[in-house]
Amino acid sequence: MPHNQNLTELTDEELIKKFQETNELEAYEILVRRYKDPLMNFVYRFVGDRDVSSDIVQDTMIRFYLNKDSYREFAKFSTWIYTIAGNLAKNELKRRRRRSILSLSPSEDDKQIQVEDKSFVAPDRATDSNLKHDIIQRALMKIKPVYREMVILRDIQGLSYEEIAEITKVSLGTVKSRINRGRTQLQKLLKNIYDE
Amino acid sequence: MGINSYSDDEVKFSKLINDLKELPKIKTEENFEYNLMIRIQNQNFGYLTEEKPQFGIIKFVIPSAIVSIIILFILFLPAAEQKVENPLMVDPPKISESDSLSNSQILSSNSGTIVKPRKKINRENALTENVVSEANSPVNSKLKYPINRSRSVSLDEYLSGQNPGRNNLQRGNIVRSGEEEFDFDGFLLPQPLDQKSLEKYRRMIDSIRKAEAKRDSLRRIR
Repeated sequence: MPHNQNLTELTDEELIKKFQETNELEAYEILVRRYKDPLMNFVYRFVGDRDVSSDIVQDTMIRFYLNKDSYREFAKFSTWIYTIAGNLAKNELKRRRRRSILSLSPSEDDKQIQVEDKSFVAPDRATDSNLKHDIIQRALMKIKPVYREMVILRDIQGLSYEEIAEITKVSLGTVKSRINRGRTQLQKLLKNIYDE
Repeated sequence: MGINSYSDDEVKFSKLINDLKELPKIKTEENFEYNLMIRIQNQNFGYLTEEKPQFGIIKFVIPSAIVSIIILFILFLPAAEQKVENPLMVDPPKISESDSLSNSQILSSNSGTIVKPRKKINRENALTENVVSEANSPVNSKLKYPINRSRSVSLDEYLSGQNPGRNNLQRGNIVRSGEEEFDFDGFLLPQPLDQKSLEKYRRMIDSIRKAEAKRDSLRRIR
């Protein structure tokens, strides 16, 4: 399959250009394969629910398929697809908030993201890596979404400040300050782990 | 996608950053791509194809204008209906307007000419109408008092004898006729003569008679 091999060697921008020009589904599939897991990781860390995250990533890929012509060459494909996923994830959070306002009893989602601020886990128990990861995820869900998004993109997804600024449509300074605030809040929530 | 070191914050939060990096990478389920391609082939795009209504200035302006008009109509129309004129702020009606109703009728029938009383009507009515019409006439604003020429007397003429149309007897009658009650009921209210003014007028007549006698004696001497 030399043709397929050639496609896999192409950059993201080249692939989407091909998909735009020839409507070739293989180019689209390669891009999906490249980005499905990074997006899944990003969305899961942001919304804290695996099934919901999977749906959001599917919707992101559908949007990419339907609106492929709205992508412009001067932008990086990664920032474009992260922007779509981020917007869908934020919509999901808004939907949850509306649902929690309308419902009298706290939803399952609210219960899930509850984190005790002071001594929610004993330090000796926090050594267990799985538990630690769970605690960090819970703490992530406690901080404000604007900070959370930045921290995830920077410290978990490993994107540059410039890329984050492009994805979130804010200035570089705002990105840095939000990341700093997010980390500070996160460290405060996880002080039992880091005070060891 | 490498991380660039931009600030010292990354050193400050190094432990936290390391822990965040070490978080397990969440992956999609194995049939993710299959499900996605099935959705694309079946055109099952769900809510993603629903177009959100576009915000348009016309869509916003027209309903808001209608609502504003209705609100203004509701707020201000009853206020306008309930508006009561403050009697203290209203200009008082002009006396000439209120009193000249009959006069205006006369004016309209004579198409703007100066109204003069008809000669054949009785004397009292003629006097009244004349006074009213002349007093309210837009042309002749000079007021004339209700003094009938035939019943009046000019003391100067009386003394100097310059009025040739009347003899002394007539003059005396005219003066005496002042004692009679005058029936005019026009604008000036009839006031009964009091005793004092009667005495005054009598003294005046006496002095006039004396003056006459003196004058006659002087003529005779000449």
